[in-house]
Amino acid sequence: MRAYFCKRLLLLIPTLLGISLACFLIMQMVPGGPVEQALQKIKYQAGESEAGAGGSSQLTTELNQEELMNIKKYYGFDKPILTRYLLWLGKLLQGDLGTSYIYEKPVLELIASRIPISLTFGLISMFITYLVCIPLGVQKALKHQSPFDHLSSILVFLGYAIPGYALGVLLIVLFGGGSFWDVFPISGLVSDNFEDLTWYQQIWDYAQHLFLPILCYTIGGFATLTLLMKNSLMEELNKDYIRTALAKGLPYHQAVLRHGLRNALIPIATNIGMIIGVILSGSFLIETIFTIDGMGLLGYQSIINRDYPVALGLIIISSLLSLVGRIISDFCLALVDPRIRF
Amino acid sequence: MTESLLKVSNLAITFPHENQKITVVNGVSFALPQGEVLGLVGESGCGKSLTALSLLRLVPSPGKISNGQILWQGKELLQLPLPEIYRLRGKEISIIFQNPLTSFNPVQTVGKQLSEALELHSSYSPPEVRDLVLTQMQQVGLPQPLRQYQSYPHELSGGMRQRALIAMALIGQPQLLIADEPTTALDVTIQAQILDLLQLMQKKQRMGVLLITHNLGIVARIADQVAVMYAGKIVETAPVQELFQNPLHPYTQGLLGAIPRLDRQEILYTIPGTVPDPAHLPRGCAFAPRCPERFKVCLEQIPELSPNSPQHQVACWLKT
Repeated sequence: MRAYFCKRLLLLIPTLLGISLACFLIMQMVPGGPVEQALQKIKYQAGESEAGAGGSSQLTTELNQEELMNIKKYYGFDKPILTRYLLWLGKLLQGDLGTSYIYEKPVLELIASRIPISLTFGLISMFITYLVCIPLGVQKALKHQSPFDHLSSILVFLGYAIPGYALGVLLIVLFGGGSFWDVFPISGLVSDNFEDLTWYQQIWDYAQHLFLPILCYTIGGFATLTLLMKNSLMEELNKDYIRTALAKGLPYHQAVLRHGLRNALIPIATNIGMIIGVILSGSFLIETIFTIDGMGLLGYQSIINRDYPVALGLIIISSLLSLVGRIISDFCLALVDPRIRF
Repeated sequence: MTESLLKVSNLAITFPHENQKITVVNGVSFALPQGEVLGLVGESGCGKSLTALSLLRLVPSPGKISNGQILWQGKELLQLPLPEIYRLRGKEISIIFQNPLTSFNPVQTVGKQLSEALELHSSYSPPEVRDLVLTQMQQVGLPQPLRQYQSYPHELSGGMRQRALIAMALIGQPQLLIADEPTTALDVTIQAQILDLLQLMQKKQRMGVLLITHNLGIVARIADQVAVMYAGKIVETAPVQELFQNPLHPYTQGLLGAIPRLDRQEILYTIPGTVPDPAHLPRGCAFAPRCPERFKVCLEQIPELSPNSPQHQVACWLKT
């Protein structure tokens, strides 16, 4: 078993190399990069001064040639693409993800400053989702085809059908103190006077700020997990060992909880690793609506602005996390199912 | 005659199917005296397993026990409230299922599952339970009880799993053991061992055993009394010697004729046709369409089980 997981860990290296190379190439080939943006800026300024002073266009072009080399050098674009990749990779191995073009800060620092926010959201969402879906799925399986089953299905699918950001806008309109009720704060994570509050007021304030965004994060996630739980348990309920448990003298609901549930949780447990990647990715739309500085917003802006170091840094970190998540999943599977040994 | 441990009369089990009710078990009656082995024999789908499950009130939904009486030591099982049934299951009446692999919870150790059967019906402390379980495991011939106690079901061989399942059924010291095709999933040498074990345990604990099988060889080996089922009805019942020497129902005769024998070099007899669909049973005797000796009344009226001799009952127009 140890040998298997060592092998899996070693396989991470070529996988990550492949991911980084592909993303690096694609990203740098997309037009509108930093060099072009800088040129655009200069052209715009030159155009303005040209219109004002009526200088010769000859000068501008020459200036541009020289300037172009400088700009390219500044962003490192004077070398061929593969050389650039190797240089970037070399720095990455030393733990340096480069500097953001936009924020002019080290990428690692930028990402690190966003992680606590996204992690809070991710963990709370995951916790709520599992806390709701597992009991709900079990109840639905036990009361299959009952009014409760149908009603809860309608509710979770309604949640699944509503995009989180649309719900966000709706909730802000309803509860954000505009035309209807003033119940929840609509932006940021804490109030302006946060520092002056006592610790329990701080917690209350934080919870109030989190409530709406968390609702939007989680609303779409209930359907999948609930149905997975229900179907998985229903499948187990028909198995022979449940009948054996009943024949021993266990009441039905105890047979289900003591024997069926553990088996039904196996496919759910394997999902846990996958969630690690999701926890950190965030959602830029919801973050934009509620003005939260999370990973989703950072990633979105870095791609729009062609802020390559940030975008690549995020890709590398999230790929690493989801790959490790897969290994953790396999480990969890072996942990809950004694039949699985690697 | 000894007082019956179990007396089933006129049992009927129905399943809803396309807006009508199909009677899968129809008017089954039999009695099982204490310490005797009754073999219930029939083809797949004739209702013998359902009959067995009904004794524990475990008929799978949407099936229902629609009629009849099950008298267990004078108590009417079909009227008992559920908590009493829970107390009965695994303590007074135990069952061994056909497939020992799927009958165990795959993610729990064998020891834990065996202990649960005892814990449910006793107030022993955990160490006492463990000792009793290990003793029982040894009695059913598990070679290293301590090791098998800690094993998961998939880690045992087929024979060992069936032994463990038998240990689980016997741990509550039941007065009736239902063995539903206990050897079907096993290979022949292991089958013989398991049958010997069942017989040994039956003698030791003086249990009644209801042995459900399609294998007449097994019946000949350990049963005292035999009931032959066809299409949801018992068509013949007799002591085992009598049935094998003097089968009366053409179906029983066919079954006995279909046993391969080494001393005869002839093509094996097969009963023509197939088991009828319970949704479309013939109007008269269910076996009539396949019967080599049928005559007019067979196709029109259902024969009742009636005594041919004091111990030998048969449901056939030929014999009445």
